[in-house]
Amino acid sequence: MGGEPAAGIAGSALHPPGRAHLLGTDALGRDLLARLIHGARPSLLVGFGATAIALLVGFCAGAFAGLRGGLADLLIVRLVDVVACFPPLVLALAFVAATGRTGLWPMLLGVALSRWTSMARYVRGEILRHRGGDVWVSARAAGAGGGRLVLRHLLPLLAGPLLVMTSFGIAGAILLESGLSFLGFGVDPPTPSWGSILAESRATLDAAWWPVVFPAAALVLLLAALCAAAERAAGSETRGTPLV
Amino acid sequence: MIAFLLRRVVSALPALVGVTLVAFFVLNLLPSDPVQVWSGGSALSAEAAGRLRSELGVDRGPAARYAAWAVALLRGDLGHSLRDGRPVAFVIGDALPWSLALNLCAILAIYGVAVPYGLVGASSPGSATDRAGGWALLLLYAVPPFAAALILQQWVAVGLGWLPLQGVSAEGASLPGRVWDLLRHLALPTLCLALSGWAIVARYSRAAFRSVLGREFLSVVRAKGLSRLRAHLRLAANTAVPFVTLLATIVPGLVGGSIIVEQVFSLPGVGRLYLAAVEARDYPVVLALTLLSAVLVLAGHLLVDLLYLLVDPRIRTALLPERTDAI
Amino acid sequence: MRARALCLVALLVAVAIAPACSSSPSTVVVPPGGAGYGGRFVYPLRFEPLTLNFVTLSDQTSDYVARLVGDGLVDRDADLRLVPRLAESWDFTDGGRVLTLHLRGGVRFHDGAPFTSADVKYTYERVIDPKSRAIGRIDGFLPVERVETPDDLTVRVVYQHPYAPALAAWEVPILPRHLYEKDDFLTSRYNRAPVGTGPFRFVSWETGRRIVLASNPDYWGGRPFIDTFEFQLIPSQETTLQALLAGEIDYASLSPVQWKAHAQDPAFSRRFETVRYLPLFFLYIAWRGDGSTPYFADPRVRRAMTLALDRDGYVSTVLQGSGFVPDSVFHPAVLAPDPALPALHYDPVRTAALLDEAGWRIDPATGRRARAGVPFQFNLLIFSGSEDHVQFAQVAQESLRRLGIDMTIQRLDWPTLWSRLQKGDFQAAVSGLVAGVDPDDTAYGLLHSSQIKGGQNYAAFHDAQVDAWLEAGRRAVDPDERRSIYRLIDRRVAELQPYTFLFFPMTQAAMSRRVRDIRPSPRGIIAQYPGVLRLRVQ
Repeated sequence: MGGEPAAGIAGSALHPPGRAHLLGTDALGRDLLARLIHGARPSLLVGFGATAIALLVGFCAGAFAGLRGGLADLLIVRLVDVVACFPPLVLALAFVAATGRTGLWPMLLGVALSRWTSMARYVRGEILRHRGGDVWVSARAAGAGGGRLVLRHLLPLLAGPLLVMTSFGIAGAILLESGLSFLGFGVDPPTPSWGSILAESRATLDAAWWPVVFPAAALVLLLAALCAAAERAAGSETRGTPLV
Repeated sequence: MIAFLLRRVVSALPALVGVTLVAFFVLNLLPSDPVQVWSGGSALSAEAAGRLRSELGVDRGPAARYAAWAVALLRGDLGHSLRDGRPVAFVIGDALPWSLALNLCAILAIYGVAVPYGLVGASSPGSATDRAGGWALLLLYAVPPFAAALILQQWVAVGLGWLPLQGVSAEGASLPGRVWDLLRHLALPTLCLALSGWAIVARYSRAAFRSVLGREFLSVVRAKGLSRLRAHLRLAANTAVPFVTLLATIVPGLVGGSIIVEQVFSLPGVGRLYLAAVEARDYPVVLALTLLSAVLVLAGHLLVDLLYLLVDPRIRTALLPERTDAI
Repeated sequence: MRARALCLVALLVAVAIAPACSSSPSTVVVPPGGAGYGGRFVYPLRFEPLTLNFVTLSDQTSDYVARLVGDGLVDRDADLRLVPRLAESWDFTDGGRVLTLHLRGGVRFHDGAPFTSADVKYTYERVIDPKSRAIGRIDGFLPVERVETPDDLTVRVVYQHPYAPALAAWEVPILPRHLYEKDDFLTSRYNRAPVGTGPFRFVSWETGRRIVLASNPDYWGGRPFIDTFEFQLIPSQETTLQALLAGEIDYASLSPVQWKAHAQDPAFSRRFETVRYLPLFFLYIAWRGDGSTPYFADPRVRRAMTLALDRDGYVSTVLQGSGFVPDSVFHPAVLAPDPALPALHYDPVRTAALLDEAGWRIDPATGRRARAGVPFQFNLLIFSGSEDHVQFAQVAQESLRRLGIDMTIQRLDWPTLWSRLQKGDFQAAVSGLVAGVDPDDTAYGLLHSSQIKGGQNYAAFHDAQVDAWLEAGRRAVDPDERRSIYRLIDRRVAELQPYTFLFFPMTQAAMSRRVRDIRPSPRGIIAQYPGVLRLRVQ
């Protein structure tokens, strides 16, 4: 497996792909394949974790606002407005900096913070749209309360579009993570993430193509797979679902 | 109409205040303060640091500083940058045209490719062109912009020498010459920004065209005796709605969306300014940029509402009270 | 759609017109040059200057511009030797307490006004005025008691006590008093369009893009060979190299890997010449030794840390040999290396012995070091923006792990790192320092106990003996006496190791072969005299 991803100064820095190192080594002589495998964890954790949090928070906030209406709705709508006014990268970056520490968790939360608003917005909009519709009225007539209404009747209706949003959300979160790494706010070394491997190896781009191309290819394949899975799962009728 | 507009503007004010409050206090939460940043990491002795501290008078609390900032803002004064002492309006004014030019080019590039693709894909769903195009756009969406930027620089600018590598300028003997120079400099950054936009807009436009074509809308209006041209115009008006919505979500990117591309291509835009100001805890600049970003977002929402009004008669009749799904 | 297209066109037109109005290079009159004159030199900058005010500037970028547009009274040549600039000569009297500077006559500012001792006094006053916030300059002037101007071409500086590093501060470029006096110092328009007496006149500053200077045909030291000196702002290191390859700039410093990739290429060496120098910048680790952590108050542990880090290995492999590992606080060009100073080479065996002696023994159960139940675990702060910080920290982490010590790494942005250093809120931290040309400049800040609070003594190093030597070093006027004082300090510091001095990274730059007659000093190709004045472009 090419040894630990955090090995010290090895003799063979920037070794091209070959038998000893299938994907070559980076500037510190670490095996790239090992780093890519270890780097999958933080990348996926940020992608899935942040999106899960964003989905949960966004769904609850959106559903609550849509069902309650009135002051609660107004406050949540305003909060969404406020948070959405910050560019995502700046928001995540400021959050990471404000916690005063780098690492997986601040980044995960920072990415989630900048991504929950679109979910909340969408869910609220859908609830308002379905309000008074057939499903709504019949469920109400059968005595369903707000929470039950949302979970049993509305959720299945929204599942497809939400799945698409989630997949693209994961892709977007991973891209955001790599952007943060590029700007120097990534996970702490020696933990690699695909984004930070990419960011670290840009300095050696014209000496060695492999430390840039392989993590980039890994990212592209993962994201494309996510998107394709979403398309298939949700069927083509959801192709108009908002992604951002 | 006027009343509607007014109400929308007034209802946006709390959000604006909220945005600046959040920005200000987050900035104050960040470790370090402008005084320390001021010395820029130069060797600072205890004596010099002490003198600077007392001179700058940062003993006022954040609340007092925010109040002073807000009062000045009401008089139209955005304050002075803590980093270089220039009026904030000048600092932003220097950067804004470049970002606007870049992002408008990007929007045109995105729409110019994605809308035709959407039309083709929608008119022959499932065809080879539709599927191949969809896949290609997905793959492009997944390329991190900085990786794309580095590769494009090396390949197109240095390797082939077709386009300028970095920087921006608008120089030339004549006006068309200057525009041409500017466009050449913006070509690669525009491409990088467009990569991620294509997939999104293409999905949108494909779905929008399909919903119209699928309803056999065209044949019906043709049957009703409309000319082909007028039928297409009607079609355009109907599909305009989602595009307008989409545009409103893209506009906020004008401020923070191109940070990385500006960094790699040495463009003196707003994104780079934002980043530098956050790093330097230059709160007058950060607040002003945040305010600008917020105004763009809220103006985008308002624009959507207005265009809905113009485009869709159903909404026009159901206008009052305030549109509920307009967050 | 059409409206949007119209907006775009309007905007493009507006942007296209704007630069034509802002810059006015045509106003600079350059007489037809003789042989070897003419040409343009483009130098990349990573950071935009905040101000071009000679006094308030605090970053290297603006210092470069100021040194070309303005003149200091003295300067350093390519070997860091003191050379006269606006002062023709100087002498110390009263046991080194009084410095008399004799100014060059007939010198004029770029606007034609004559330069006199009043401008020198004015510059001094602006530096010490707290309102100026001239933090980058003030230290050298704090020991000044008063500045007198007996006549237009004489400046007499009276210090509170004999002050050996006195001349270093007089490198400050002299401000034109007659222009600055008219309006507010901090917001003066000359802060963005400086006027000096220097070899280049300021032409334009296009924010975020470039700063253009044109040669001063009337320069008292003779007209510079090149006509135009241009700084181009390129924030990314990768783009800088690409710009060099594309011929957009004439000079670029390369990372070791970039260097390795290109040095072998004959086409590259045909176009570019190698410029190598050991800059005054070095990296160090500060071990917070004030007892706030159980580890680093003990000098044995600190010495063990230094011995545990393979600095030579890092320099030879990761930096491809382009660096210098010091055991002294001083750059070899600032203080000649002391042959008697013990070297602290990588030695895991001695490290283990020292740690055992200090009580940090390997716990057989866990294989990790601990003392009285406290495991040896600490956190190292690094600056996230520096590749050297990030890479060295990872190597150090691995070396320490093998010795049974667990070190975590925390990356911070610069303001955060700095604020934690200043508050002493850390256990160990990597930081960097640009050393001054005088030994006092580096040593006093890092080592004197008065600099613990608010200064740069981040290790909280407190040693009465070193304090006394540092003060003696400031007052000793005799160069030999000073050198022996600083060597004493070096030996004491090597023993106590409040810091581990990691390495001076070598600057390796590629310069277009069009460029001739420039040799780097440890401060680079610009911050030296006459330097750029003699630079030619073919």
